[in-house]
Amino acid sequence: MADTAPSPVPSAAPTEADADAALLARYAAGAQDAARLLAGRHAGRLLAHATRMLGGDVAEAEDAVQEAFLRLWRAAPGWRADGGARVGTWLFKVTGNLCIDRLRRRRTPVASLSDEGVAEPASQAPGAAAALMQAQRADALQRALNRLPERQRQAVVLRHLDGLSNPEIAAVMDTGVEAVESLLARARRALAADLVPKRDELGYADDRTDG
Amino acid sequence: MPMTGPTDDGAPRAGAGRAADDAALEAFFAAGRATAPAPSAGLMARIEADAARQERRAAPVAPPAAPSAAGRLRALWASLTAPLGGGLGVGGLALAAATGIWLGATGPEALLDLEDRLFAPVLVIDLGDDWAFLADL
Repeated sequence: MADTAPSPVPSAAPTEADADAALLARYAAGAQDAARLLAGRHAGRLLAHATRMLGGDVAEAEDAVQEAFLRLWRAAPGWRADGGARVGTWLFKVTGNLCIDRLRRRRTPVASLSDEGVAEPASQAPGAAAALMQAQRADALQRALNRLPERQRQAVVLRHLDGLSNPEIAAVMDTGVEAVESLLARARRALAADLVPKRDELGYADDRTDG
Repeated sequence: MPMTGPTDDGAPRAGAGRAADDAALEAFFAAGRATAPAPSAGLMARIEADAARQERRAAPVAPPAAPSAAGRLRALWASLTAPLGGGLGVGGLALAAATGIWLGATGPEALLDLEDRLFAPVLVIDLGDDWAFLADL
């Protein structure tokens, strides 16, 4: 049905997508500073996404993000700004696919974060205890994400950590909005089963008394 | 594993329990968002280096300047004469062809006449024995 088919993704804002397309066109015309600006606009979100997809391995996530950008540079000369993919969506899609390829090459479950992988805040800094708790919660979340099937992990990371809308996630994952909603519902149930019992040990009792 | 989340058949939990789970999950998600890694300077440098390298590789070769009319004629001449040995070859060929036409038009007598002209007897001046004038010089 035409009215329910996934339409062009309503990305963050049309002006953002237009700015990306304009920068990519400038890069294709030889402007190196346009490449630097595009990298600055997207590398942070893509690195966060790839790191979560790859079980917390930042070094491997950096490799995946670099590869995604390389593919963007190669695609730049033939990029169609009108009706073509949006740069941000396209980058998330390519990065996600590269991460899934890397996960499948490992042929083993995503490695769990080691204890030393957790960011340790400076112990003397104000709020150090709160920061440590934050890091422990993030670590517990990553471990729970690592136990999800790839597609559920990708959907929930895109939605709840990267902040994409469901139609954007559908475009990134080459599927429909209903399929995304189903993936998210299953992922949230699995995460709740994994994490909710750990609330007390991770300080949520304190949150409740504070709040 | 304790089943505090979904039931075995995947049916959603009752409203209040699910809302509490969502609130708890949101706190974990917030922690995840707050601890996202920042791209290193090294990563940004590698991305920019790739962009520069790809730009050089994809840069179209500058098209040659449009040739002038004279240049086009020279190019045409060169392309036509190349199989015949270039300009010198064509010159020799043209000379041979002109000679053939001339011979055909004038007949062999003309060749004999030409020979007479080319090899005419050298004029000899006999000074005899009178060399005395040389001494006066």
